[in-house]
Amino acid sequence: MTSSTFLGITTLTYLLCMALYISYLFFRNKTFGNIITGTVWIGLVFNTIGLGLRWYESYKIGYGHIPLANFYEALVSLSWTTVIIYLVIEYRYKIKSLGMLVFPVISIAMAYASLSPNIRDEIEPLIPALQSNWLTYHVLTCFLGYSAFTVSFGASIVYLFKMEKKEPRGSGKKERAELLPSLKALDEIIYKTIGIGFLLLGVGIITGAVWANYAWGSYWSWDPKETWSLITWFIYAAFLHARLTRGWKGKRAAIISIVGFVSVLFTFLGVNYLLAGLHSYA
Amino acid sequence: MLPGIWDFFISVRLTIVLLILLSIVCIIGTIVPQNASLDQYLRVYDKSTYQLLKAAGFLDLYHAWWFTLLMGVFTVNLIACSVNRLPGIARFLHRSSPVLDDSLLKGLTCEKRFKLKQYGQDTRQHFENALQNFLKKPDTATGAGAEHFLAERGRLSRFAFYCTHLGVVVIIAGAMLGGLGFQGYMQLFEGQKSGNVILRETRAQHDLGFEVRCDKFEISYYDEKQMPKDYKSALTVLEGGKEVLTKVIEVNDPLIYRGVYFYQSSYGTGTDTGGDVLLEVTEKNTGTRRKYRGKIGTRFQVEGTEDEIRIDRLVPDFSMDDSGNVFSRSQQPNNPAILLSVYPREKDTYSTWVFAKFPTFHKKPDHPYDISFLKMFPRYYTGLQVAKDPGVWTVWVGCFLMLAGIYLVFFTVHRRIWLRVEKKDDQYEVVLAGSSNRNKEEFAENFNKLFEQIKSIGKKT
Repeated sequence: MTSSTFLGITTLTYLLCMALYISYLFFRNKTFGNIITGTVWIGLVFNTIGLGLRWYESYKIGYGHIPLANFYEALVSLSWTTVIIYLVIEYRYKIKSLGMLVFPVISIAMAYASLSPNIRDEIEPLIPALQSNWLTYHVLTCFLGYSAFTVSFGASIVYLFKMEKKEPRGSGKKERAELLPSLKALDEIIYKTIGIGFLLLGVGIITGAVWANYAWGSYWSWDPKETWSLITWFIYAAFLHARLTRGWKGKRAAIISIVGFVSVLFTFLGVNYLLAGLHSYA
Repeated sequence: MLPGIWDFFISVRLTIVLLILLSIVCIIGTIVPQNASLDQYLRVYDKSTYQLLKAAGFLDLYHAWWFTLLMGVFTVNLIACSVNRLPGIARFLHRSSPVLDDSLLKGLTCEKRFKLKQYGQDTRQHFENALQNFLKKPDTATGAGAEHFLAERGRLSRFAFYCTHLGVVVIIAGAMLGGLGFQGYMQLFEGQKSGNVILRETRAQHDLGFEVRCDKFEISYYDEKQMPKDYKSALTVLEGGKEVLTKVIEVNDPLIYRGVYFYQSSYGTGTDTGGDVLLEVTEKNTGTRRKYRGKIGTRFQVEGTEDEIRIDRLVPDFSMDDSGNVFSRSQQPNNPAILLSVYPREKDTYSTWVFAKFPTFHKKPDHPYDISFLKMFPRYYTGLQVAKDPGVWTVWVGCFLMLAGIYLVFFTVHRRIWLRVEKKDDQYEVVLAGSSNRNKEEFAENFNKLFEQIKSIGKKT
């Protein structure tokens, strides 16, 4: 079996997880919840094997590089880090309803990676500029950061949805909203995941700077990807200052978190498609 | 007046506004091309827009005076906030006193008390154990008819804010120090040496004070694809003509000498000078084929004749612009071509382009020779990025402080729990109080649990 087979199964498993998380909203019981989490774990195992095999295959071809070299590999790795961060948060806060927002994002990423005709999924050689161990540290920390922000985005959407549904009384929708975690817990998750993401993206930006200094002789060149990662970081920094010193919580915090996520998306995707720069290969 | 300015600079609202402003400026910086050429701008903007953008500094906004001003205000804001909070935080340099007096009690978020009939060595031991299990082995003090206990953990958390902001200030200082260095570029053919760098921003020459020679340049490709796998240059540093250091550099592995970094950044082939080409010349009359290897710019005689051929020019990636001028699209040998001048004895002199990949192209029946371009042995030059940045280590120290600070903000908590046992009449009053600088709700929950535990210990013993 090749890495593509495993990653294909991973995509299907994540799609299944998405369906299961949505059904969980209607059929809540402990066993079912455990089955869903088990399925996520199975998906993660397939994802890990797929990435590991792909790494191994790249050595067999003679290129020998970690699967972080093109957009296909980026999407698959990003899904992998997001599932890991998601599982940590689910375990820590015992909240499953974020899955119904996080897994659609992951499934779209995986399905787009494997089905889109614009994405080449073959293993490609690495250009000299990327041949460095810093590639692993830099990309992995950035991706873990993006993943934490994705989970925070999921929590923000659930937060706003739940706030909305609190208003009308006596409707069925209200009861369903009751099934969601408390606003307080969601707010806490938004804050904590942003904190984690902020630290990881910070490490990602700095490892990138160290690498750039070593490869190009300049730790910062205002290249669009660099600049956008900084913009994202500024937005979350503003969020943290507003929260820690001015007590911004709840709805306002959720909205800033969504704005931050839009910036994350632009940093990851928009820059590559709309702007040109040093990161044009990624 | 002065207090007004001070209040302006210590406000976190200013910080938030600055972060948003910086974000907006950076967004503009990624949309408006920075430091592009006039041609590139005129393709996107009309002349008046261009002039307006240029005058406002938007075409090089990271170096515009108002960007510097923005960063300056940001730095002052950071420092002012830090100074402002200094007195409040200085007391955490030392461990807190275990003595719980009433003024201290007022400032604590959690407080509960109960009455106890008996209090002795046993109970004290149990209380201490409970505090130790909750946080840490407590410090104790006795005085004024009361016993005091304090368990304290995570004092460092109070300094997280400082660490982070100091880190940012240090980074900015490092970036300013970097202004004392330079960034530039140099090209060296194999065997060539130079002590001059062309500066990136001003395009001026900068004398290094020593020389660098390229001894050898090598390039390897991935098998099937014409994609470079690796390129390396063997460099030698010469100080007053004497060799002092030799290193083979490649992408991601620079040479460092006297604080100057030499990075492998590009390469190219000398298109008009240097390098050899291998040609096959067929005499049409006789059908004789002969191979010739010659340098670009030289001429050779076709054997057995008095005819001569000159190799005028080599272009690795042949292309023509709108007005018909030949240029090389890249330095990759994608479509190598040579320009030859043929001087036949009997006929007119003519010039012709010969393509390695399209041998039949440009062949004419009236030409006395069929010439094929078999191979090229170009003379490579290595493109070196040369930089000196005296602030770079300062920046790294700042980055480290900042990340350590952010880590402390999110993953450490300063928690303190006081316990006071005071004899009042024939009873003992037990006061449990505490505070936490973060996660206050979680702390309050745990505090209540601890209180119940302490209370039940008191009842049992």
